[in-house]
Amino acid sequence: MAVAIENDANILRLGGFSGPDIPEDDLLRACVHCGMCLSSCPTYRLTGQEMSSPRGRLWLMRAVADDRLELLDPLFDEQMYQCLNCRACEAVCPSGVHYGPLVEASRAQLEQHRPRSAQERALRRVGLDWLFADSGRLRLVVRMLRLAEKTGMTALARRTGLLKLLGMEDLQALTPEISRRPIVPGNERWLADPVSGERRHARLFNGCVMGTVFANTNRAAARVVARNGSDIDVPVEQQCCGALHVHAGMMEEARVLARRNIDAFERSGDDPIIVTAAGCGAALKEYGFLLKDDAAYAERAQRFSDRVRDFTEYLGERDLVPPSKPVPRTVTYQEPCHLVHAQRISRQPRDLMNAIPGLELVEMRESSLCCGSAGIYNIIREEMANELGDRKARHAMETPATEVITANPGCQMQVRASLRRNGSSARVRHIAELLDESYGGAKSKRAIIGRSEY
Amino acid sequence: MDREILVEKLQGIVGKNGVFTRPADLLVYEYDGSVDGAVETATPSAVALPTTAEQIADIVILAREAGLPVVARGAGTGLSGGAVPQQGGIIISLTRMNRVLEIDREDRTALVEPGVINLELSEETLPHGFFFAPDPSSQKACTIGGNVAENSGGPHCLKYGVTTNHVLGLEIVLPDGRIVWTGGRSAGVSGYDLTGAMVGSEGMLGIVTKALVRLTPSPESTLVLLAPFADIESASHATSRIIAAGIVPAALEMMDNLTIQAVEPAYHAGYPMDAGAVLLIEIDGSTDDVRGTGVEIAALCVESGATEVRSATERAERDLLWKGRKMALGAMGRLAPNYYLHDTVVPRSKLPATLRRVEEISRDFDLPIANVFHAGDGNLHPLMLFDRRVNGSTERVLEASKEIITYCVDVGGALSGEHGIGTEKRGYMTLVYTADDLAAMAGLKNSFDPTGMFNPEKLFPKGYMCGEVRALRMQAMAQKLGIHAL
Amino acid sequence: MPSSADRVKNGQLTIDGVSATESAVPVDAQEMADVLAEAAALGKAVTPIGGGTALTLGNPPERVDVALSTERLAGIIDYEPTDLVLSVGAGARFGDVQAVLAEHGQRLPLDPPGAGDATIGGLIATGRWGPLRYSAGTLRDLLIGISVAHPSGTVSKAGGMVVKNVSGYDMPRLYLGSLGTLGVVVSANFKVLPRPRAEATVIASYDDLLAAFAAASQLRGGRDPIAALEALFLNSGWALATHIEGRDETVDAVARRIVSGAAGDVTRLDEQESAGWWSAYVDQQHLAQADNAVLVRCGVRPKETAALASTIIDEMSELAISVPYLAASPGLGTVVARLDLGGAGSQEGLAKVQGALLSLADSVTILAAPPSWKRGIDVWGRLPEGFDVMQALRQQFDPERTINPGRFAGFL
Ligand SMILES: Cc1cc2nc3c(=O)[nH]c(=O)nc-3n(C[C@H](O)[C@H](O)[C@H](O)COP(=O)(O)OP(=O)(O)OC[C@H]3O[C@@H](n4cnc5c(N)ncnc54)[C@H](O)[C@@H]3O)c2cc1C
Ligand SMILES: Cc1cc2nc3c(=O)[nH]c(=O)nc-3n(C[C@H](O)[C@H](O)[C@H](O)COP(=O)(O)OP(=O)(O)OC[C@H]3O[C@@H](n4cnc5c(N)ncnc54)[C@H](O)[C@@H]3O)c2cc1C
Repeated sequence: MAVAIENDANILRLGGFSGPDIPEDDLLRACVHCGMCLSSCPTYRLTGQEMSSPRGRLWLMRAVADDRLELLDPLFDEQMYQCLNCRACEAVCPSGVHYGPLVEASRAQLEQHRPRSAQERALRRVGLDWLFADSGRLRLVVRMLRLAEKTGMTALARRTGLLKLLGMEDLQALTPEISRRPIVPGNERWLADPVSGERRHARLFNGCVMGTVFANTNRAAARVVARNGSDIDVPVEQQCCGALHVHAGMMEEARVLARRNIDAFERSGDDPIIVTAAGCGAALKEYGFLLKDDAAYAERAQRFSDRVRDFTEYLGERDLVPPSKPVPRTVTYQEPCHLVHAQRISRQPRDLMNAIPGLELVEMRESSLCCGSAGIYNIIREEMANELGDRKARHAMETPATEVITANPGCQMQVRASLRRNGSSARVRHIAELLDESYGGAKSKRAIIGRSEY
Repeated sequence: MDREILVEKLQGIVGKNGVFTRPADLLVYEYDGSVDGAVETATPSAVALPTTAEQIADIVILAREAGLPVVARGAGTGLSGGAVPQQGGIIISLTRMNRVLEIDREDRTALVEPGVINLELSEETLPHGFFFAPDPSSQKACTIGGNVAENSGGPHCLKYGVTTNHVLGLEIVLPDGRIVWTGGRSAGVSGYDLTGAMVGSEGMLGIVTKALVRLTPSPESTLVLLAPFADIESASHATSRIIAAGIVPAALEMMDNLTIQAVEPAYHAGYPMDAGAVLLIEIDGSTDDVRGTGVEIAALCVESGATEVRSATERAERDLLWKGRKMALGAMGRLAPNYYLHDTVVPRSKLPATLRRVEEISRDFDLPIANVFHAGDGNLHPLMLFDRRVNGSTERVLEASKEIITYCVDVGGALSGEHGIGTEKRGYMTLVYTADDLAAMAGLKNSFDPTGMFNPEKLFPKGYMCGEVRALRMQAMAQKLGIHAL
Repeated sequence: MPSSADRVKNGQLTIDGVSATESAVPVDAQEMADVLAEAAALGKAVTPIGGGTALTLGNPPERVDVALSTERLAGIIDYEPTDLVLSVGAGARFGDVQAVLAEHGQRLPLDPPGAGDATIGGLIATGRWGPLRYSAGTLRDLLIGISVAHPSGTVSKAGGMVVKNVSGYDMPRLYLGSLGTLGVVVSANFKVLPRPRAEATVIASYDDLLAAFAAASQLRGGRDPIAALEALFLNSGWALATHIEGRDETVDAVARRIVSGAAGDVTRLDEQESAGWWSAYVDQQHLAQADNAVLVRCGVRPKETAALASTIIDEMSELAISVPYLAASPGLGTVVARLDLGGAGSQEGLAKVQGALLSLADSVTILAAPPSWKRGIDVWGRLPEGFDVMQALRQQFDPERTINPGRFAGFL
């Protein structure tokens, strides 16, 4: 039986859940355990066990809510964190269960109530509290890494665990891709090519990893947007999106970041906010939900979320200026979970690739099954992440493609590492770079430095 | 048997990570896809996830020693409580036996393990030019083993037949732990058709460990027609006329206005919001045949009152038209938090009257009922919409179901067209079957499983003990002969 | 044809040399069950008689006491042409049923040899099929409901008059092909199908087996609406008969294509001619009782049909047995052959032939042979897997072995 939610002195309680951020009873009970989610769940696919499925996890949450299972039962902890939060289940759920927020709330519960192993905590603190809480710090670290690489200090850097944390363990393979110059918000701006109609404006959400390691991808995306008739800049004072914090159940930390981002982007009115990292995009689109109980921010958060567009989604909403330079290669597309499942965007990236002359897109099997990256999952659940990565690599390698295209930095790194491990030298690239190439690339359009509008 | 010994022995068979016995782990094996309230949950004593038939045989032997029932479980999407362990015991979960072992292009067969997912079998055989024809709406999740056990159907079964028409042979583990093959690759295998008996036996006769299934060649061309009608009557009429005209479409599905109201805003499939009902008709075959038949069907629809007939040949267009149908169940969430459905079948000519009765029941019970179903087969899916948090609503729904079922049986219909009896509908069995009919079924059960070890408390009405069956028949015989002592 | 009661009276009702001494002609299901229960109680053996066209199929009976005729259960019980379903008494003649269906442009797509006089009950009991199985399957795919009288004195029904039904176990399929050993079929319900609008048959000649089967393979691999495909061994070579059914234009186009693609002699038959040819074709597979004639059916995986056919021919010639007739169904993996044992005709001779065939094929059924040769041989061939489950079934449904004792697989 459902236990009524008590609202006693702001302490919420639902069976074994208590305190702020508890899974919502109505959301929980929307699941009718039909099982349609099973086959799309990566952890269920690997284990075949019911507790590792979305339906099973929801049933466990329900058992905690009904006082049939202890919140601190090891199974509950294990399952809430074994989940990749890839949201594939949400996309196929006939009953429209909001699985993501439920698993995140369950993690928040565990964070609040459970002592975590010291090592894991330290790692998370460095990673999430220190590194990602301020984009300046991340830029600094990335600079140090580049330096370390140049001076042969990679081994040292690896030993610090920092590389692992960033999913950049295989630095050797990654180095050529690490951008020389991070994008500092406020510093760069691209002016629109004249396209029929009025001049438009767009704002780039920089993101931590995208703005540093993959800064050049962000620049490529900006150029493509500009080629399609919009001025675009990178508003100052923006922060990490907080997705990793939400995934880890660190809701308060996430809210702090969200509020700062809302403030930073409010100045630019209703202009679309363009995101190149699917994971960030999904989180930004959920600010409305994250801050729904914050009287001062709830409405503003929703307005913010409504402005957010994935890069491919943005382009899909208008007539594309045809990219003209042929790219005579064969590629396959790996769908980031947070694009295809969380944001339900799957047609647009393919349409864009099909618009590139000479390019052949060959589908791989299970293109929408998680690659195992899932935020910091590949760090805390290495074994399962590797299994998923290998599966992805195998499917990609079955195709004749020489390049794997994706739209999220986590996937990019995970897929690359998996391909190398499986002996493939195929490149892994962000779709923005591919499009940019067909529009003429970096030489075609330079950023105006230090001239951001906001 | 001591619990610890049982656990140890199970682990000895399937390895440590193939056994679950902690209460927390067992929680997630107490349900299947059935609706809360219609099927009670029940917890197993242990769950084993074997990877070979030999392991299953060993588990069965162990269970026999321990005096525990055994319940096979596929994906747990069943809608009649089939995989719920009514009397506890050991659940054998087949999810780790999910390999397609062989695809024989020339003989058009596939040899698969029971945990293979229905849709994935079709996807795997597609490059060879085939598909697996039974296509339950749950095909993205349900397993071949489950399909065999339930004799599942789907929209395309109108033309291609249900699961039993596509199973050529089975490897099964019997309740005494032996592994045997039934049927096979060649015609003329002697003896009783044990394969035929196994299909649809709801996990009560044997555990399927391999299935040899027929593959169907992908059609050269496919056409989907959408025909809106002013009301259900005229759509049913069109259905009858198509069938009577000697046309066998690949699929013939109907959706009523309430369904359209739920589906169209969600998926924009292009169903007219003001239509009383739409028919979705798929035709496949050679390009010429498809074209010719399409014209005929369109004419019949128009004569029966269709306001227009739209057609789609391109994959994307067809998929869009189908999407509304396939996602219909889920879209009901837009109308009410819960739904409950039955899957009775009526003779096709009884469709209009039956739908009228369903409408009356909807009114009498003050319960919205949406209809989305396999019209070509007469297989209804009346979806009763409710909110289970409202006191007494579940009971009302169950009452209304009973009315619907009773009516369908009265007009010569069947209790279930594809979801099976399980625990959910066992109470209704006596509506259609006499004690003698059930005794014959019990005779089949006893031949495979005399001690009632596999999936107990299913299909037969509550309290119908297998031991009683013999007695009942003896009694009947004695009566006939005027003999008193036997 | 004289009624079976008359035949019993005249001592004419003999099955494989065993004569029936009593007859019963029940008028309804319950009476049928009563006859069975009484026989069971008295330890008598009952042989159900339908059209009497396949009474010799199976092992020779251990005993025959009562000849139980279904002739008075011969009516069409219910036929809804618009629903495409039919319910019919077990004693109804298949030919009569087809004629009624034909009036509405419908049919049971089934063409077993000599089936016109066969009864519905007999067809179910023997589970027989003909060349149409290639496209239409067997009765297994058509039977949707059944009513059966048991030796317990009860009548049970299963299935119904709807085309899709999973209410309880699939009993109809259990009874199908069980040669009456689980009960006597009283009535049966079928899904019927529209008659094809047009049909044609192309018969092409080939010099050798490989060429004929290569052509068959090609047809099997395509998507044409082929209803049946049979390869007939003529001592001079092979003939491949392709039966096409469907819409007029399609049938015509496919027939043309096959004709123009054939290398050797080729004949095209349309409509009446085509139908006539096929009924003559299946009639060559009579359960003929001519002296020394043995009719066998062997089954393998369909793709191995050619190999089976050629090894049968070789092996038999090695055993000095002539093969006056051999037909193969490349899509079904079956070969039906008439074997002339000549002077070697005897029980041992038959056993030797069966042994030889069993080493070549997955299944071997001796459809017909002189009764004295059949004694002691299980004409159904290899004991099926799961035989003890079958024994249990027999024990459950007919513990006294009242119906057709000893006749079915494993002498059940
Ligand atoms: C949204 C939804 C839509 C559905 N649509 C349809 C539909 O269109 N048509 C239809 O027919 N059904 C439908 N179903 C019902 C269900 O999906 C089918 O019955 C399916 O075949 C069950 O497969 P499963 O693997 O989930 O089996 P389970 O639910 O795990 O088991 C079902 C039964 O099969 C037995 N079983 C499972 N595996 C084996 C085995 N290897 N050997 C022996 N017994 C075994 C179990 O003991 C149980 O009795 C639907 C269900 C849902 C939730
Ligand atoms: C000339 C000829 C050639 C044939 N050749 C072949 C062939 O080559 N291959 C082949 O496979 N088949 C062959 N058959 C068999 C034939 O096609 C049918 O299968 C046969 O018709 C059965 O029907 P019936 O009414 O004549 O049955 P019967 O001959 O009367 O009975 C056949 C068997 O079924 C039992 N039976 C009859 N009625 C019932 C009932 N109501 N319930 C339970 N048991 C019952 C009988 O006891 C008997 O064992 C041939 C038939 C004929 C006449």
